[in-house]
Amino acid sequence: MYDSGKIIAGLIIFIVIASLPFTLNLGKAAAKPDPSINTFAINQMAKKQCVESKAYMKTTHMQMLNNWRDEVVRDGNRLYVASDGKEYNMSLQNTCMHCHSNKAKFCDECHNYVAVKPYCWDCHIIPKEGAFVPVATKAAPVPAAVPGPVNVHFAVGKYDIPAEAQHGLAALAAYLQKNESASVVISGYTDKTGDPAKNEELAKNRAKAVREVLRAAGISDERIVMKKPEVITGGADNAEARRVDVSIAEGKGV
Amino acid sequence: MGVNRREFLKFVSISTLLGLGGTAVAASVKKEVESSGPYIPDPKALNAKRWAMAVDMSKFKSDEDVQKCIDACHQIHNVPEVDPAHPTQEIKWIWTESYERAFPGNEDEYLAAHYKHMPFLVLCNHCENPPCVRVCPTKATFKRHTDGIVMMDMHRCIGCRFCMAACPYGARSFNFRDPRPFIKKELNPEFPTRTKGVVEKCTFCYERLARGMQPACAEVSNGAIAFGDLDDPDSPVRKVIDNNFTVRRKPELGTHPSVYYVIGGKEHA
Amino acid sequence: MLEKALKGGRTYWTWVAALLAVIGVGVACYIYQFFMGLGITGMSRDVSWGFYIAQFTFLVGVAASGVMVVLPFYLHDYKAFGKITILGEFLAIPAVLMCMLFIFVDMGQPLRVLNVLLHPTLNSVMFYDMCVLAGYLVLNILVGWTSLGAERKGIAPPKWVKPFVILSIAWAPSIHTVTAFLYAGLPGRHFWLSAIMAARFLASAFAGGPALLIILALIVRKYSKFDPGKEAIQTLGKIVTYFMITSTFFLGLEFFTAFYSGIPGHMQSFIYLYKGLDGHHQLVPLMWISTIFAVAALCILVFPFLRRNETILAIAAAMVFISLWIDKGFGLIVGGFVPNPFEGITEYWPTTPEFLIAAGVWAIGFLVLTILYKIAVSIKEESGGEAIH
Repeated sequence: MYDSGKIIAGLIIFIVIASLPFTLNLGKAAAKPDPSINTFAINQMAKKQCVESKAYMKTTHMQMLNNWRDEVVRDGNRLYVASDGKEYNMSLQNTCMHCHSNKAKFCDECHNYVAVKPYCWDCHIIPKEGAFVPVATKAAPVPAAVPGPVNVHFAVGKYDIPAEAQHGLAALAAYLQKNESASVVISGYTDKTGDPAKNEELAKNRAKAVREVLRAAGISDERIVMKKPEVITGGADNAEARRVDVSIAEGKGV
Repeated sequence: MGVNRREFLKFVSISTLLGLGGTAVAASVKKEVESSGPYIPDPKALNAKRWAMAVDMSKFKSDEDVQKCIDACHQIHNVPEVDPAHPTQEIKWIWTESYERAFPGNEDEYLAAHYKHMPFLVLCNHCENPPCVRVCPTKATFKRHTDGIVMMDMHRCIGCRFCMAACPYGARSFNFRDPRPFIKKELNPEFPTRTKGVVEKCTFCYERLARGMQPACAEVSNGAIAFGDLDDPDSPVRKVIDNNFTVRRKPELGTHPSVYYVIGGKEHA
Repeated sequence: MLEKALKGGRTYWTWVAALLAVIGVGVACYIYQFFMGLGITGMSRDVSWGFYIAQFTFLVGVAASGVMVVLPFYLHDYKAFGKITILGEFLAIPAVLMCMLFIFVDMGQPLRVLNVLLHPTLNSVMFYDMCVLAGYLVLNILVGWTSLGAERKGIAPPKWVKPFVILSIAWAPSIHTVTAFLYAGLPGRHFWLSAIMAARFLASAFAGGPALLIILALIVRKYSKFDPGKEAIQTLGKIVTYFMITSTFFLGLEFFTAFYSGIPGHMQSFIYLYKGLDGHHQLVPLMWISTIFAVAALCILVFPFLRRNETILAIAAAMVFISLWIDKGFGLIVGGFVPNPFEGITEYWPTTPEFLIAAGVWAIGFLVLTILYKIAVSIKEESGGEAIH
């Protein structure tokens, strides 16, 4: 063999490079992926059921998302009729991630394991981890009777839900899940100070923030009635005025 | 029916594994699936043959009125703000231009200053005969056969920017960089952002129409922007066109824009 | 035959090393662009195509011009071109390659390039452009490689090559016509919306390409024992002369239509390029260099006694090439975007990384050209240079 030295050296280099993926990972056992479904929205579900069966979702969610996108963007179809007849809004961000609000513990678990990096998150917004978690995950009590109105109080100029209000809302949400005919009325208020136009916007935002919590618990939009009060600056004093009133109404549509 | 959807999808995924053939099969059988009904429009959705808009300039009382429309759109669609280091690479969906810039070729030095300095809201015209759609090599921008909206499929755009060269209205923006750091206001969690390297523009709020809402700019315009079906004689947009003298931008190019402007509207008469 | 490219002298390896260095810098800059996005270029919302696409446009012309030596040799049995046909074919290969690379570096989402094939769109000129460019590349590799292989063995090329040669001759104008259609069919871009765009493209290509070929032939003669032949070079000189006259004439036609009609949209881009518009005149010096070079080259070329002197011919060829490169490889594309659809002006100038990426692509082209020419010339040196057909 001519140039046997060069050929053998070349072969050795080739083998070393070709086997790098194995040698580099030698002795490092990758942990088995264990996607978690421990989120507020999923815990609130009476029956933990995804759009389709678990096995189907496991193997086909990527094709499904592709089809969803084409249907929504290209054909203007918004709803997916699942095999059990239930209808879902076809949206990664607003439907999938609404329940699976724990991207790191759900999506990434498997994606990292198989070393794929879907570019979903270049555009789609990752839900804030644990946005609705704190009190609620401790299984809020499900009241049998209609719960009384809940008042959520806010800080000046703010519309993020304070932690102490979560419990009350979780109870409302749990009731709504049990009683499918019930709906809920949300009204936002502000105090008297400041620019009226801005206040109106703020009142609306406060109401919306509450709606988000209920949505996160799987309450559909048609069961949430956003009612604009005639005077938005109602209340005994300013602290009392900065609130959202949430009350249960039996029967749809109010 | 011989196959149910599950079986069909299984068949497609297996044939996809076997090669590109699966895609062809999927494309040919897809219609059948649609008719079997797993995908349906939202019953709340607003429908039209051809969506159109009429902007009545006389109903904008102040610059804030106009700005409100721009802000509403840019806020809910997560449109990034101008990067001060690269102002010429900005992204905008709806913005204002002077008469001369919005209607070049119609300049007149004696035009009354009032009209000259009107802040004309300009956006994608959703042309009936869109040049951008004609040139796109991947159908990433396309005219929806259902409602005439000129759409963008952000997943498919390859960023060749042929559409930007083709659009005679300068309606399109390219993501020269990752837009996320420039979205200063709070993200709208219900709408995606874009990624670097794709073209974007106004979509007539297709995502709101699909849920029964008016486009954001029309909603906050206090009636200055009428929106509706151009094909329906009773639609708000046709009412405006019927009762006012309207103009469109660069009609001579044969693109048939769907955005109409009322300039000397009755509010001023 | 590739082994021929592995044997060379000091000059050859120094040249190759220099090209590799430029490629290295270009690749590094491209990686930067890949992660940062096209924001690192000088392009903008208004001037959405820049240096890359302009280079692409110019190089399609260079690629198409190979037909100028292939056609007389194969169709008219013009023997003097027998020696340089392969140079023409082997110039087309790196030129098409550079075209594809320039398109690639210009893409916002390069990883999605296959979408063009996954969703073929018959109403998009860009789809056809991709098809004809790929076809032309295959044709030239096929014809060039086969006939050179035959020459090496001292036999006539196989008969089946002939139909492909004829096809490549018909194909060459198509690639540049389709490229012109990218621009000439866009409403609202007055500067490009001209029926003679494709004719202009072809005329300038058939002047610029052979001009480059003259320079390459002279370099080959200087650095190897292979002589492409005096007559061949002189004939190329004639081709350059006629097409440069045609190209300038066509440009004159554009000027007439724009300025005699007096339609603002048609005039503005010309005014911007040659005089400056509303205080913006970044490209004016470049365009005047192009004009002066074109006029000077024509003054030389139209006199046969001047262009018979190969040194003078080389200078004229270089001026033609540079003049057309500025005109088509810069002004034509940028000019189309100024003024913008609102009749406002955004100026464009490539940034350093953008320029370095372009230089890297050119270096890749030259590297491929060098290797192909090295192979061809080595075989020519052995066989005495006459192609058989």
